[in-house]
Amino acid sequence: MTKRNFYFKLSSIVISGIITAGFILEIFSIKHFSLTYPYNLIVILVIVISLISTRIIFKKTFFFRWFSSLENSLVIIAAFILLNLISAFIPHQQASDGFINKLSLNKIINSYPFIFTYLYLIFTLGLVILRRINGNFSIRNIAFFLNHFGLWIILVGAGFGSADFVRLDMIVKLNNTVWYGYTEKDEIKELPFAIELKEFHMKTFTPKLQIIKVDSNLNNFKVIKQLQLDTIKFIRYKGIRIKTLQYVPYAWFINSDSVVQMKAPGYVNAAYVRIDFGDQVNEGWVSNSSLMQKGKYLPLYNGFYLTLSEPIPKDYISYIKVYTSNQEIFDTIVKVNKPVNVMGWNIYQKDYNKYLGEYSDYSVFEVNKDPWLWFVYSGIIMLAIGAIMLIFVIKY
Amino acid sequence: MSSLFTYLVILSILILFFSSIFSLKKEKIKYLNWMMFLFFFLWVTWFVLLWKNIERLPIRTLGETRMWYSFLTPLIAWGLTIKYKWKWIIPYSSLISIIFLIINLITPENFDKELLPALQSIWFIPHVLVYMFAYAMFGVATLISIRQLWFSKNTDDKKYIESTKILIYVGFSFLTLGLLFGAIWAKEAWGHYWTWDPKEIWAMITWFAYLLYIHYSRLIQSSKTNAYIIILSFIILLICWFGVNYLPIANQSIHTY
Repeated sequence: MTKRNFYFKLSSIVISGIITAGFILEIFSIKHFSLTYPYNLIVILVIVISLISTRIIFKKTFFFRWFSSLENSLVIIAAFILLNLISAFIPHQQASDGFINKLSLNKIINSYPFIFTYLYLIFTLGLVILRRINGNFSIRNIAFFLNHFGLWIILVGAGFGSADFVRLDMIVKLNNTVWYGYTEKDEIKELPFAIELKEFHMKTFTPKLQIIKVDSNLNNFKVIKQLQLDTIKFIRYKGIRIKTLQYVPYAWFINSDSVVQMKAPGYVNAAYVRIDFGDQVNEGWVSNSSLMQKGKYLPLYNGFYLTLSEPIPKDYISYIKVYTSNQEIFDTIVKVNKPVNVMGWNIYQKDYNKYLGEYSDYSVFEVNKDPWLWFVYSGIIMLAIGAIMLIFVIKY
Repeated sequence: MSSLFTYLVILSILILFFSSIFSLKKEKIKYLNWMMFLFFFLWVTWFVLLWKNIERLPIRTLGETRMWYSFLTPLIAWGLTIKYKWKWIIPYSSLISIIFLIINLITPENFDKELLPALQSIWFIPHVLVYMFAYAMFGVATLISIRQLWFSKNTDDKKYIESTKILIYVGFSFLTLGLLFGAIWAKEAWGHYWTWDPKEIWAMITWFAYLLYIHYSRLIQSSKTNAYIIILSFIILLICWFGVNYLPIANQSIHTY
C-alpha cells in the first residue's frame, strides 16, 4: 500500500469512528451543554496550546505528518460536506420518523457527530497552518496563511462564540417605553437601555394588476401574470385587452361601484379597468382586501379573475427615543439594513403589525449582542484578502 | 420590456449560432471577435435600459440571474478560445446560454420594481454579481470536464487540466467573496451572519465542494477524479441556485426569490 492510500484509509477510519461515536452518544441521549464565556475562551486557549505544542514536540512523528497531510484534509472536508448534506435535506423540525429524531438528523448541526467533525476540522486546519509557517514570506505563503488562518478564525469564532450570542425580541407599542426583551423561549430579560416608539412610518410599492386562476374559492389561487400598474397602461392576455382607466390608493367602497379616498386604517387600493374580450366590453373595479373591506375581482373566463395584489412594503422606519442606563437620551431611527448600536447591543427593525400596515400600532425590534463578532470579522477580512490573492498564485 | 426581451433573445441566439460556426474555422476567428463584441454591447445596453426602467439592477429574481449567466458564459468561453485555440468551447457554452435564454422566454419575467427592504443594501449588487461571475466560471469549467471525460480522445490533455484549474481558482475566489459579502449583509439585515438558512447551507456545501477540488488537484494533478469532482460540485451549485426551492427544507428559507 502506498503512503497516500494508507493516509486516506487511516483518516477515513478515524473520522468514521468519531462520527459513529457521536451518533452513539445521540442514541443514548447524552445531554448537550454549551460553553459560554469564559469557558469557551479557555477551551480555545487549550486548543491553541495543544496545537502549538504538538507542532513543537511531535513535529517529526508519524502522527504529525499524517494529521497535517493533504490526504487527511481531503477526508475531513468530505466528511464535513456529508454531515452538512444531512442538514441540507432534512427539515430542521420534529420529524415523524423516529429514526431521524433518535439520531438527531433533524438537528445535526447541534449534534455530537457534527461537533466532533467540527473539532477534528479545527485541529487539522490548525496543524496544517502551523506546519506551513517557516519564516518564508512569499506571496504564496501569505495567501496560504490568510486563507487557512482566516477560515480557522471564522470557524472557531462562529462555533465557540455562538453560546455567547444573545438575541431578544422587543415589542414596543406606539408612545410606550420598553426596557426588556423576550428570548426565544419567551423568557423576559432586562436591557441596559429603554426604547420609546415615537412614530412608525411605512411606504409600499404600487400594487400590481394580477390575473389569477382560482381553485376552489377566492382565497385559494395561483398568480398567472402580474403587471406593474404605474408603468404599464394596458396588457393583452389570450386575446383579451385589459386597460387601467383609474387608480385610487386609500380607497373605500361605499357601494359596489362608487369609491371615496380617505387615509385611514382599513383602506384598500383600487383600480378601475376596462376588459375588452373582442366581442364584448366589461368595465369595473378591482382591489386588494383589508381587515375592513373585501377584495374585488372581475371574471375573465372560466376560473380566471383579475384583481390587485396586496401591497409590498418598500420601506418601514421606526422613530425612537433611546434612554440608556448611563443617563443618555437621544432620538434615532431604525430601519431594515440600518441597525443602531447602543451600548454594544445592535437594534434591528424586525416586524410590525401586518394587519394595520402603515398604521401599525407597534414595532418589533430584534436586539442582539455578539461579543465574538470582531473575532469572526477579522477572519472574514483575512479570508477575503486571501481569496483575492488566490487568483495570483495559481500553479500548474 | 417583455417584447424587447424577446427580440434580444432571438438576436442573441442568432449571434451565438454564427459565433459557433465562425469559431470552428481558424480563418474566421476575426468574425467571431466581432460577433462577441456585438453580443457584449447588446447585453450591456439591455441591462442599462432595464435598470433605468425598473429602477433597480436586474439581479433579484431567478430569471434575472439566468440572464446574467447567459451573458457571461459565452464571454468566458471566448477568452478560452483566444487562449487555447479551442474550436469546441464556444458551441458548448452557446448551447448552455441558449437553453437558459429559452427557459427565460418560457417563464416570462414581470420585470417589476419591487425590492423588499431587506434587499435595499449596498451589499446587494456585489453579493449577487460576484456569485454570478463565479457560477459562470464554474459552468464553463464543467463543460470542459464533460468534454474531457466523455467527448475527447486525449483525456490527459494538459489544456483541460490547466484551463479548469484557472477557471475554478478564479471562480472560487469570487465564490468566497460572494459568501463573505452575504455574511456581512446578513448581519446588517437579519441580525446574524449565519442563520443555517437552507440557501446558506447549500452555499456552504458548494464552497466546500470546490475546496475539495482545490485540495485534491494539488495532491493529484492529472486525474479523471478531478473532472468528476468539478461536475459533482456543479450539480451541488445548481441545487443551491434553483433546486433548493423544490426541497422539503425550502419552506424554512428566508432566501426565497
